[in-house]
Amino acid sequence: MDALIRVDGVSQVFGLRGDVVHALDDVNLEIATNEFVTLVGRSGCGKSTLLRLIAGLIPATRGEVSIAGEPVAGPRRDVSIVFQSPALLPWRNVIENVLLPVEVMKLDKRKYRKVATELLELVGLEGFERRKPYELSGGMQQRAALCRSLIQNPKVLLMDEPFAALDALTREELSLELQRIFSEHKTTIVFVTHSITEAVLLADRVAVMTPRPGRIAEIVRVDLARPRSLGEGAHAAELNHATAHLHELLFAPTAPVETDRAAT
Amino acid sequence: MSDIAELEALAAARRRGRTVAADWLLPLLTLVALVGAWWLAKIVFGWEKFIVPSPADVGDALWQNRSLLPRQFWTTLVETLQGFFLAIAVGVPLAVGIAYSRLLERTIYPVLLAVNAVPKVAIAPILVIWFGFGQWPKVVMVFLISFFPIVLSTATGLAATPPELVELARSLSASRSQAFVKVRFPAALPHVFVGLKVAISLAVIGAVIGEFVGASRGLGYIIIASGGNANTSLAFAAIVLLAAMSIGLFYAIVAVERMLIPWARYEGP
Repeated sequence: MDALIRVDGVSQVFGLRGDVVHALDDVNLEIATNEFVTLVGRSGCGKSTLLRLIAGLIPATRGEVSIAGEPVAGPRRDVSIVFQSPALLPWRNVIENVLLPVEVMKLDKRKYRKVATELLELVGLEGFERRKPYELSGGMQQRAALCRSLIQNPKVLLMDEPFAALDALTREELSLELQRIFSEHKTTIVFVTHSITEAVLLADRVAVMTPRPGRIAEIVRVDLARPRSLGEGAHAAELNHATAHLHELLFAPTAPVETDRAAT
Repeated sequence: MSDIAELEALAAARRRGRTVAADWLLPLLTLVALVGAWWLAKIVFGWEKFIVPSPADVGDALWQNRSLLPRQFWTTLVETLQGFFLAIAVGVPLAVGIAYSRLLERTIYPVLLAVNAVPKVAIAPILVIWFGFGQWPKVVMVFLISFFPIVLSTATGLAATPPELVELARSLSASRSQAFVKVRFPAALPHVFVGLKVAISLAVIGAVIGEFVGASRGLGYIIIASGGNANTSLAFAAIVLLAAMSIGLFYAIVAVERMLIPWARYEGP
């Protein structure tokens, strides 16, 4: 297996108001091209920190992250992020928001307008191109944000609890859609979540993280055909099995107990 | 489907009706009540006309001076707008400098605070010495008085870019100027408009202060001059016009704000 993303002995320490927070401790992870990996764990286990390291938004205290063989020294054009909030620019309409990366990277906007329209169609936002973000529901805003992150056809898509701010039903709906989009628009995805169900439903592999210091406790492979769903069907038993296993890992008696201070 | 469209139209019409009532009728009623109370007080206490004129006296003064007052109104309006736009032209770039440079923030900001702490009225006579009796001392006074809220609100707005937008710009490797033009400045606009709305009200006051000290034109001059010959009705007429100017300018800014940043009503600064 040829790794696209390689996290090699990474440790991360933050100074926080005089305190030192050990966010990540000797984390090793290899992610293959077109693989879907979810990072799951409690708040403060360093999963968002790990994502930001891969994104090049923060430098690692120790160790190295590399993408396609190149060490990550800063944000890269072939890596894009979806945040927890849609982070759409409220003064731009949907399609202009999707085209923001194209503008910033000074690519041919006319050519990409067609790509943007196709992407909006893919996520079910056709007809909403000229709407402003505040005219859309939270779920639709996050769909638009997803299109923005896919516009430059990134090698790596990083998603930082992208559905966490949505209601439970919208959240499940988007999880199902993300699978469909992933199958039509192949890319490598690293997806941070604190929902075990979401982690299992989406991933090829789930990296279970434990806090203080942040470590990868175990990597669980989910070998199930897509599309998967939470409905009655062939996957219910297997999904339940994997979910139960993750519950045990995260809530094992030996697992560190959540204290009152979260690192993030 | 048509039922729903009909219901929506109905709801929209009702909303519109309520807004018209709230936006126009209520302030108008308040104004009428205040004028009524003023009139009543005058009758009850039997004040002399040269001390407190009645609303009718003021209306009469407005009518009698209908050729004089519009010109004075225009003079004061032009001074106000010149000073106000000067304050925007200097204040906004300065705020950008403060937001982007630690050095400027450390050096200029305290000086600005100190200058703002000086009562502007105290400077008015000095401005006459420096700039003479023409429009310039008034324009400079308007500038001085409206400049600070513009700088303060713009700098605050630029410092308050939502963190997720900052991170978005970073993740796209946007240059500093791209991040400013495409993200930080538009994101700061709701704050900027808070400052502009404060500044425009102050601007009219600035123009009047300037005219009090040394002028031969403008509504401020009319107030001073009519005070001198106990023509209180005319002074009141000038005050009414100043109030109208102030309100008109304020709502002009609100209109521009709604046009430029319609999203602010949904998200708030």
